Amino acid sequence: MRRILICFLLISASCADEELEIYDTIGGDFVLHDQFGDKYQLSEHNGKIRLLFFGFTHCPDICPTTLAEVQEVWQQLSAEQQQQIEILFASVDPERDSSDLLRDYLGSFDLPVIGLRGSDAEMLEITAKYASFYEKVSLDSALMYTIDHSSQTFVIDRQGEIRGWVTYDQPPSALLELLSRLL
Amino acid sequence: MSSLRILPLLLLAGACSGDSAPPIESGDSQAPYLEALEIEDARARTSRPPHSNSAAFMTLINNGNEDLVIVGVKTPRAKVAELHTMLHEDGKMKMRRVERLVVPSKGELELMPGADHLMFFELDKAWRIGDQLELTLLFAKHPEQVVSLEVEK
Repeated sequence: MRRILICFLLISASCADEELEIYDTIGGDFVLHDQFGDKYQLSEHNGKIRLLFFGFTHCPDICPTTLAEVQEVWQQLSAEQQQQIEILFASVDPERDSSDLLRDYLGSFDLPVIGLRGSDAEMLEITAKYASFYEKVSLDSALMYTIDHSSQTFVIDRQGEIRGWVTYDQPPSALLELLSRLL
Repeated sequence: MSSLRILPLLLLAGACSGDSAPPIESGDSQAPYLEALEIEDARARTSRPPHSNSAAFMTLINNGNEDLVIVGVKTPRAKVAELHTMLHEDGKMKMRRVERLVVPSKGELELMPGADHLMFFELDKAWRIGDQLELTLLFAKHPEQVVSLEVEK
């Protein structure tokens, strides 16, 4: 029994010490504007861990669910841990997502989210760098059009490197685990 | 988690009251099957600014011997209501409107985020957490069903 316990402790220690991979072929610096109209450059915020999600305010399903799950994770962190993290919501609907709308939308979550916006050209370039995707699609619906988009939430370390991501079908605990290994 | 058996509308209630219902003409209610319909965990999502849309989710359980085909939904809290699904293709999320959703015989249909769900547009006002809503599910061959649910986060 004692031997089993020691093995378990060794395995646990080994997992905790294991470094997260650095995905240096994707991601990188970018410059956008936040929901208050101020410039936001990713590299100027190095020193913080960043969570980056590409979404849009008219998104009725994936985006509010993702933000609600991030909120769930956020609430499990201490105030000290929260101060080390920035949450970024980059709009892939430049046509509809004005600064005002982003401000109102993100303000409805109990979560300090920085809303980012840029031109369509800028967003296409940035999403490509992040191996992500979005496309405006006409819909036979009152929604008029939707945006097909990737659903990853990227975890970016204090140096601006991607260290992992979670997809929509993963539970909030997956994001918490990633974060806890960087905090 | 709430569980409820859905009651047919009052107009149709008489036809649903027993196993000895008369033969059903095409297009009329087929009440015995609806008696087998149960709905669990019905909830709507709070709307967010600009409060242009919201969604509702639930699990529909069909204990009957015939598929139940949902062809629409309506609510007094929104001018437009639609059936939607979410396709997951190569890591991309694609929401699409669908004409129908099927609750299979002796099976269930889970309406949930990231999958089949009910969508609402042109809301009367913001859907706030705690609001009580009433939705009506429209079926291809069965009477419409009213579902009460609460708005959650």
